[in-house]
Amino acid sequence: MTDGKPMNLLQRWHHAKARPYYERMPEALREEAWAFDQYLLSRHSAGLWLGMAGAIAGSTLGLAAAGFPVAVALFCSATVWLGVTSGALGAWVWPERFTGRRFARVLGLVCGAAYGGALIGMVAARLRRGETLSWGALQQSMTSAAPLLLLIAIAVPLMLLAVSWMRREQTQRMLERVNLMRERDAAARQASEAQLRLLRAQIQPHFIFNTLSAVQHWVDTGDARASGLLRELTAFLRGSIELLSRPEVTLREEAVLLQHYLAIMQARLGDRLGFELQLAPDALAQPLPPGLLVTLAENAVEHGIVPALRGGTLRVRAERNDRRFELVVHNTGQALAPGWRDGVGLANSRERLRHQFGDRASLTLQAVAEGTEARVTISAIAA
Amino acid sequence: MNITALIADDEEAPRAQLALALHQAWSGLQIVAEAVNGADAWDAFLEHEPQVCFLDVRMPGLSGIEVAQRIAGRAHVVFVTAHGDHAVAAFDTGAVDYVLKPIDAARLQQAVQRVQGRLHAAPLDLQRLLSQLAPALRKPPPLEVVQAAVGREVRLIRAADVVYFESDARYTRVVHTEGEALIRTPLKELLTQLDPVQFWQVHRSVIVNHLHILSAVRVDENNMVLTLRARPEKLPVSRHFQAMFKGQ
Repeated sequence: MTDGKPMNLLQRWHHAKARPYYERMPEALREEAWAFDQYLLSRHSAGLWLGMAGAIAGSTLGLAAAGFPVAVALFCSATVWLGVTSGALGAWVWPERFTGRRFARVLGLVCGAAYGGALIGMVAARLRRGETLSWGALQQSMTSAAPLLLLIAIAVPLMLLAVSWMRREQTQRMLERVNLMRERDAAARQASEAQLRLLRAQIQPHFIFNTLSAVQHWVDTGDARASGLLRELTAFLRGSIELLSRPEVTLREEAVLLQHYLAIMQARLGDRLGFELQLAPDALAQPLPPGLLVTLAENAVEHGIVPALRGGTLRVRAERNDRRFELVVHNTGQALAPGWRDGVGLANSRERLRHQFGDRASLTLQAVAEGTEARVTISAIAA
Repeated sequence: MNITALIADDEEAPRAQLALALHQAWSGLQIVAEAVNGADAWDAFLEHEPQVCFLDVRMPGLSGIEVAQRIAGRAHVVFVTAHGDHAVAAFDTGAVDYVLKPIDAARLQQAVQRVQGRLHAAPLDLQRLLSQLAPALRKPPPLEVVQAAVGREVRLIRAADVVYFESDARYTRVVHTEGEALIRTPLKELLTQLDPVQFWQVHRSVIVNHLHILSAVRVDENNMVLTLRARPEKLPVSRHFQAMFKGQ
């Protein structure tokens, strides 16, 4: 609740006293009430307090001139001004206490205070002037004061009512705004979390650190390969972040990213990794979920070629005709293990294909004559 | 006396980096073998019997975990892995020595000191922990048929009919119930493709189908030989593997 600024003596005292009240307030109001109270108790509010003191002094003088004893005049003025001000403040902070059925209570209190105050004042004034107290005289005075008292008894509660209505309206708007902002935040957070999951699936720590291990060694030993590998790694990371932040990318863009990935893996694995890309020019404009091609190639390399004692070759082929688009990622490495299941990357790819193309797209992974292939088909029209 | 070590990593740069870093961190260490995959690492272990093995976790053929299972406490093992490997959490809980790639000189120094402190005691028993980690690795099904070129024909020999495999210079000799053939696949690679329940390695250069073993005979304190059901020759069992034949 504190905003980190050091508090003065008054503020500290108030803070200790008022904490339970703050804690009962709705969260959205708490900050505001806190800031307001802190303002009232700070040096900056000196003008406000001086104004209040001036108003009390002025009306005290007025009442005294009208024949009220000074002490009574001061008491009445202070009661009225402080009462009205704190009433207004109360209406601001707890509008629900001043509206609806509770308004009757406010009305009663103000009427009682006005008439009671006036009666006490008059009795005191008469006693001071040495006049005797007679019921008739008092009645006459009260009757002459009645229009003014009535005005006060109606005007003050009405003012309080107006303040609380305004405040309620404002609070409502503020809460709506806060809720809207919260919803927006939540949506933005969900989107960025989804993107992060995607990035994490594509850029595995294992991949990064193994690559950095090679970079580090080649830098340490002055090997010329360091520079090229670092450049490819940078291009791959930059490309991944750019592509994965978009809803869809073209095969052409994916292929650029794939080439950076393959350059990195070939630098690391040497002749254990071979690759051939055959991407038909017609197919290059095909939109795809970002990261799809790289994910499939990465799976083929990590689970097919890297675990194979003699390595293997990755073949990527893409074609498109009037009816459908087809993408095949084949590797000649270690065969699929019996009882294999979709990994995170594959499940993710399937999900995003369905999201983008519905039933028109399919993704299969199967053992073939020489190795394993992943096949994506997207038909031009719904099947 | 120098301490001997084996290092194994399937990628050239991290392997060279490890060798270089060890050279600086442990002056008396003599690296007797640098293995380029798990099968190679196990073979090099049998050949050199090093006292310390630095094993990459992810390697083709046999993973570092599988190699350590086979070493079975006969050497001190330090795993080498990159961050993000699922094994790291288990290593932490199991007090297993490991270093992360890229290698940090200070962390390697710590691992080296821990191993140095234990050199004169028996290596840690990791079998239980390793057996928990091993099933996470996906493996293709074991080899069922061996294809051997004999002259102009290719003979298909069922794994069940094979009596034993033996290294023979650049080839592997396949001795089966109906004769013999030569194949190009090195024995150490074949080892990773065969069903480990059926085929037992009994020597660095011999893998035998245990269903064809008739008996194991102890010749003296150090030597043991196998007699076979369908073949007259006797196969030697090297020291590392003699514990498999203990009688029940």
